[in-house]
Amino acid sequence: MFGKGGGRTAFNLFFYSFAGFLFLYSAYLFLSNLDQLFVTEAAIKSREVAAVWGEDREILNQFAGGFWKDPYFWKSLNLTVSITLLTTLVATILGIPTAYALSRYPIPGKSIIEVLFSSLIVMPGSVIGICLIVMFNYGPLWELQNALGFRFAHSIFPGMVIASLVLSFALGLSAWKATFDSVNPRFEQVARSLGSSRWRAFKTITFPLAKSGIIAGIILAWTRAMAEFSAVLFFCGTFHELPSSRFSDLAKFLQMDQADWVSVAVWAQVEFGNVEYGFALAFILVLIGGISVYVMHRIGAKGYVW
Amino acid sequence: MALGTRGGWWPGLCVATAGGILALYVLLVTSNWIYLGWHDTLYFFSKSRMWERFWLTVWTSTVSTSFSLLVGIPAGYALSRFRFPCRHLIASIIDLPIVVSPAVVGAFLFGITSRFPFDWISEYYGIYIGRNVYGVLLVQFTVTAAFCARLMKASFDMIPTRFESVSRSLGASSIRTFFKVVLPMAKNGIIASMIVVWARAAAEWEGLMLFVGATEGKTDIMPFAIYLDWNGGMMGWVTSMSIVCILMAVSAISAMRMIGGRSNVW
Amino acid sequence: MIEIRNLSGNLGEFHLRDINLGVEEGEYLAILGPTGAGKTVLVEYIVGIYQPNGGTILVDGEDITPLYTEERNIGYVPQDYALFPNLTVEKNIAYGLEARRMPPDDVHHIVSEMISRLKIDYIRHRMPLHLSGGEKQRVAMGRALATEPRLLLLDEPLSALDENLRTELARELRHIQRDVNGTFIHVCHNFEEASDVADRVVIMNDGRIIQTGTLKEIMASPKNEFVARFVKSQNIFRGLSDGSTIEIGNLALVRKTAFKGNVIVAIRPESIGIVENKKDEVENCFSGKVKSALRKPYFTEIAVDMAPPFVIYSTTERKYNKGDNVTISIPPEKIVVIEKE
Repeated sequence: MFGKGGGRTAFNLFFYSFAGFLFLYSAYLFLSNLDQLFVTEAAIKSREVAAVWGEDREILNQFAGGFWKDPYFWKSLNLTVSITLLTTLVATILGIPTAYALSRYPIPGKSIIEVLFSSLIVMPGSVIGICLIVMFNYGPLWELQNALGFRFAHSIFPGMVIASLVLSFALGLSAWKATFDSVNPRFEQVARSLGSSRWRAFKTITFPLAKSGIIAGIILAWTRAMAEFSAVLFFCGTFHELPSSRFSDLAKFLQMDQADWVSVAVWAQVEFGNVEYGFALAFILVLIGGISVYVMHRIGAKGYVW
Repeated sequence: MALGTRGGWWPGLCVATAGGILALYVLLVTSNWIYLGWHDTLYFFSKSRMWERFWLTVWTSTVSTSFSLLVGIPAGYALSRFRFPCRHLIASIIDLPIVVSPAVVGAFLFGITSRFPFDWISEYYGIYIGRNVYGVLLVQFTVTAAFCARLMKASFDMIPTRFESVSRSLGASSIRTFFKVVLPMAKNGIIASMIVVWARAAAEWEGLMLFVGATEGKTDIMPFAIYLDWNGGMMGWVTSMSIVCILMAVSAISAMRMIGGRSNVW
Repeated sequence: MIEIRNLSGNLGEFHLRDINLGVEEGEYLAILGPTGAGKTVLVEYIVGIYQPNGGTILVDGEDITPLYTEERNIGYVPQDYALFPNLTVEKNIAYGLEARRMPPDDVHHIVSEMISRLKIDYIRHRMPLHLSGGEKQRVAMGRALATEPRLLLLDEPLSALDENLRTELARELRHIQRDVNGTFIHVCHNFEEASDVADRVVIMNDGRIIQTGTLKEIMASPKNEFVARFVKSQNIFRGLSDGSTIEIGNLALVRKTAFKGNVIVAIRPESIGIVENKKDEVENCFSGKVKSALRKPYFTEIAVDMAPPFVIYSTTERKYNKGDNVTISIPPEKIVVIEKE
């Protein structure tokens, strides 16, 4: 029935269908939930019965929970984006020298380090959250915090930064190390033979050559920070219902008080029954994530797995 | 032998930063064990409750990994070899479930299972996919299938197409080429992907929290159980189970490195 | 002006042992050896990329072994030239000068002079990616020489090029060296390349220096079988010597030598003559049939069917065919005798 040529087409089709299945599954997963943004009669009724979490019922009963009218939404978005940008900045400043050291210099136990970082990426988020709690609230760092007079856990800064930093740094590091590995060390050696210091060689030769890889790593780090959920949940919790007095003046000034990390907010809202609102937040996260991924694909970042 | 850190302040800065960060990470990972101590750890390890959850985690991960591999290997091959229009867009959409927070994925799964085709399946086949083990499998599959496809794409990318061209020029059909030439060369990559995907499935819990809910013994795989116990304030259980999870992740990665070579698909 | 004393080191799979070497100022030295001989490692030690396990390197009397690469002021042209891909030709050449914080006007002046001297003005603003092999070499030389280093190291600069380009560029290297009156150390694995450029040659194998001298000297008296094969002596045979004759195969060569017992004999193909007239027969004349005759560009390579088989390079116009009878004559002084180790 099928000749060699036909067999080839059938063969290709077979493989295409699996990729197609994944594509359709993903698309269906996200798009079919769009109707969750619309408020149903049942939802309105249930909200009248249950105690409301302090929000305006009028707003909630609109399309997508009227999220754009709610100050809580904007504050949460502001909080999350600002903190993740800060996290990405810290990750980059610490990560690039670390990646360069791991790539160029003979550091003992390199394979153990690689195993460590790779394991962190496949570890459950709750475990990382617990590790953070135990590390800061029970270990020697507890003493340090007592001495400094404030707690790391359950705080916006540096709590949320640290929580999102753990995995953001790990992913960025792997990307940057791969980038530096791909730049031939000969260039630096020649540069130094011409009289350049190691820093100058890095600045003028290695860094420009590594630029696209470094940018890919930055996007990767930021995307991962935005997707962080468990670590922030465990280490910081929710801030929505905390009284205003618990926040510093700086937090209020920056419009970060009484707001939540967006992925945590998704969970909280859906748990509480504000399904439309929760899904609206979820869609925004999906949109941000999708744009990041698309940019990464376009700039040709190869082999970066999340 | 190598010049090491000689030569200006830059090498010193790099190595010091690296050392400091690494020390913090090592502390992070071992903090549970430090807190709990040998004796208590062994105590919790001896409880059957621990192993019930461990076993649940292991078998659900294994089943969903099998499905993920089934879908992921051919999908990865398609993504690697074929050029189709809007390639980047399609690849991005396929990647979405693994890029966004798993909590979000859980919420969406929650929405999707109340409609076609799931309601159809539960009506006609009596299998309800939702707040039970099937729900766990579905969540694990969702977050790992695309991940597997990505890993397999990277493995297939490393095999030059030259071999397939030669095979076809010798008269072999595409099927024969795939099974006799491509797959054996990708063997290491497949095994490595399998291990990593398994570890990722075993680590999935946020989706469970949002979608499946907790049924003691039925759906609380290890990471989820950690969350539940933490809410209950049972720190001993929490830290000991964390240690188990950490050991699982580290063993999986070590096994992968020994078999598959580089863990640099990351 | 550069002296290497007792250098030894281990780098991965390569081991250097007891390297003792001296290079005069203005000399062009070639380090010749097969791949894996440790030539690149030696270069890396001299440039300062790695530290040797033992020994010292002295330049103009100064011990540079503890210095960093950037302090040594030794030019380095690696294989594939390693031109900085993100900088133009002009910027590449200016790199070393800018690293020394020279004022921009001086930099520009020196760079322009170098560019015109090397005749690469037309590619001044190009990126290295689009340059030909010859152009890349000139840029790499310009970059290394702009800072006036006391020594220039070239690591297999011509290995990646094809035959005809190689000879032309080898001559260019030689020309540049004479022009700037610099001290060059050129690493290669091809002895024709070395003969094109070098004043003196060092033969390395297995991490050790086997022999030094001019190429002519080495070709005339190779120290051991390895060197003889490396300089393509072609006729290398095992023989038995009793002090005045050496038996090889079925023949007895007349040759006075101090070595007795098992020896290795090496005879260069161009040293063997072909006798036309019976009257010209002197000692060491043997007859045999031509096995093959290959016309090469500058000579005819004739293989003679004897025991042992000889290879002769004949420069006469005479055509030789398979099966011809020839009489060859081997002057005793051209027979190199090496004691068998």
